[in-house]
Amino acid sequence: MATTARSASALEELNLTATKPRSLWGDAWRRLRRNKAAMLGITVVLLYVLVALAAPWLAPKNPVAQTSNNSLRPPIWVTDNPNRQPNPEHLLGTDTNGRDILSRLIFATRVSLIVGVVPQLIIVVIGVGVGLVAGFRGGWVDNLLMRLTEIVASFPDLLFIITLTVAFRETLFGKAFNGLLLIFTALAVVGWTSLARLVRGQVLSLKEKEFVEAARALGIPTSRILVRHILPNTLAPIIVAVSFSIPSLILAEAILTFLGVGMRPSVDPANPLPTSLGQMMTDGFNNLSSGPWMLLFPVLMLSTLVISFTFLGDGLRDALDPRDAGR
Amino acid sequence: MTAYILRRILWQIPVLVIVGLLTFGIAKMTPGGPFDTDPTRRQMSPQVEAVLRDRFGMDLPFWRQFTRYMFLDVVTDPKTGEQGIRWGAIGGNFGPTYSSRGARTVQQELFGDRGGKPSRFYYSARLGVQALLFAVLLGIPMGVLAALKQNTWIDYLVLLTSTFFVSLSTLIVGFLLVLIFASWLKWFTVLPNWNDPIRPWILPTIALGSTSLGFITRLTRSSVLEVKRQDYVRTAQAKGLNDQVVVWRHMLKNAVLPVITILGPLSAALITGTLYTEIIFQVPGMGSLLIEAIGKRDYSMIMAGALVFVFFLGLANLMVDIAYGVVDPRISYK
Repeated sequence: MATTARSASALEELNLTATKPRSLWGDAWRRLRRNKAAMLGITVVLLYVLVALAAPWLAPKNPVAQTSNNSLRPPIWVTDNPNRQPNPEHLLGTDTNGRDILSRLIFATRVSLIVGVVPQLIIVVIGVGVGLVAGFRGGWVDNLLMRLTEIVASFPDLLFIITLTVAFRETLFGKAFNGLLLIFTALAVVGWTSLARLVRGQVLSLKEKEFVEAARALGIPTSRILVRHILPNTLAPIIVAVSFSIPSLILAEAILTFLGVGMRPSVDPANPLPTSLGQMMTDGFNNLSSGPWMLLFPVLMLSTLVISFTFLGDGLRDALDPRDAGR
Repeated sequence: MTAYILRRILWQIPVLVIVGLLTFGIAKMTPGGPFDTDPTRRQMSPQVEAVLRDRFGMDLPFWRQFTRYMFLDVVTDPKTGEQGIRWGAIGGNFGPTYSSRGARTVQQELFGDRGGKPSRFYYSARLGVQALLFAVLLGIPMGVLAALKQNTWIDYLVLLTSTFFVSLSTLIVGFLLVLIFASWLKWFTVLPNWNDPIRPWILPTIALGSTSLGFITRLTRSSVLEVKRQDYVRTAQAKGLNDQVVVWRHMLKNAVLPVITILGPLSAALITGTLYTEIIFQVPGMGSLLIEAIGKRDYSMIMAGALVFVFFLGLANLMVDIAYGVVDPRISYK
């Protein structure tokens, strides 16, 4: 009798552990943690965030401070050119104006990270809003919104962004925050279409599901159904889309700046955002023969950041949608 | 099918008109005109500017400027006094460029040859086609190879390279190629010699095709992996067909279908990619011309560039759809 009781309680215990609630997000986090590339990506991204936040304390020099007779010094390990000897004070060398490359790199990560985040927030608001309304309302609203999406999407995005930035570059708006405000706006105005399509597709299939029908039968208002029942179910694909879109925004800033319609460099020593990686690459490209390190280091910085985001995005996709894992 | 294609072509017209309207509107809103670029330089005399403004119809109301640019304009021949119709952009007439003060038309700049040298369009088109071929011809075999050798070092190497290409974009790949092969190894000159038929094309083709190459490789790999598990492949293997026949005849035919669908979006990336690829490698194509035009606020050139880019994008998407219907008989367009 005693043995049966004990085994019953053991069974109960087993049962308890077996039914321990496992949420979608807990599962996803567990899968993500097992993914080495994704964890490496997260680590590097967090490292960049730290560097960006602590830039004034990390940077050995002021990023815009120029010293005379100190231009185009190579990195300290490059000693093969007798005419251009490295200066031990500048680990990664100096640019054409004698400014410290390492300090500029550290400050430039700030702009790259901000460009990845701020327009992304606007994109999520527009894209999710349009997608939810179009998918849920259907009919002429859907038709109108999707035609609008199609038109915006059919315009080659980069060309659209360039046109916008060129048009407003000389206005007060275009000069705000060294031109960053204009870049944010242009990137967001053009970038929301794929997210809107994604969310609309999700909503179209979700609104036929029984739980939405049940909610509607209970008389729950539409706005509440959208926010409480449909939106949470579209969250996983949105997160994946966002994690892939951040690196493309970071690259877009570099491309725009390279084409001469992006960020403006600042010479104000107190400016918290004096330069961007795109700006540094442009300077480097224009001085390729005299100082290739000016191009090399920002390219390496940007590549590392972008690849880390991609690893993270791949990991998130595999973790949140295990059906596709391993593809 | 025919009705579908026709409808797709017709849908292109409002898209082009709206794109034209957008660029035109934005260009007109821009503070500063094309004739007052730099305040420190010598300014144009008011009389000359008045003549130019008249020639470009810049004092007409907005909608008149737009329609005469986009569609048509009724012009009176100054000698005979006869009235005739001059077609606008829809007839392939993009008007005179602002930067040449009306001496040359946009279509001459884009498509005309320049003193024996090939046209701007030739350089961009050739670069785009080469990049696409490079991506397809290398990407599909690499994807198939990775899938057949799944979870070996070959697979991992292919996956890693293609992930790099996909995430780095043409700009960074271009910079890396310049740094490694031109600046460091000195295999190529930074200033290209375009009389050479092959050499100056190599790096820009690789850079422009790299993103597409990565996408195509990854997609081919995943779709071969899916096809590999299908019953008909097992049947083919079970009846004793040799591996080559199974791979090339049974698997690949189905595996390339998704690849065709992304050729549309990829051609969009290729077309905009020419903008900075041409600047990095100093290709005298349409992209670098357009960037120059943006700097000079040459409205007619900017608009024409946008319209030509959008037109080719629509064309590429249409061709992809048709190709898809031809390759996959299960698909019917309504």
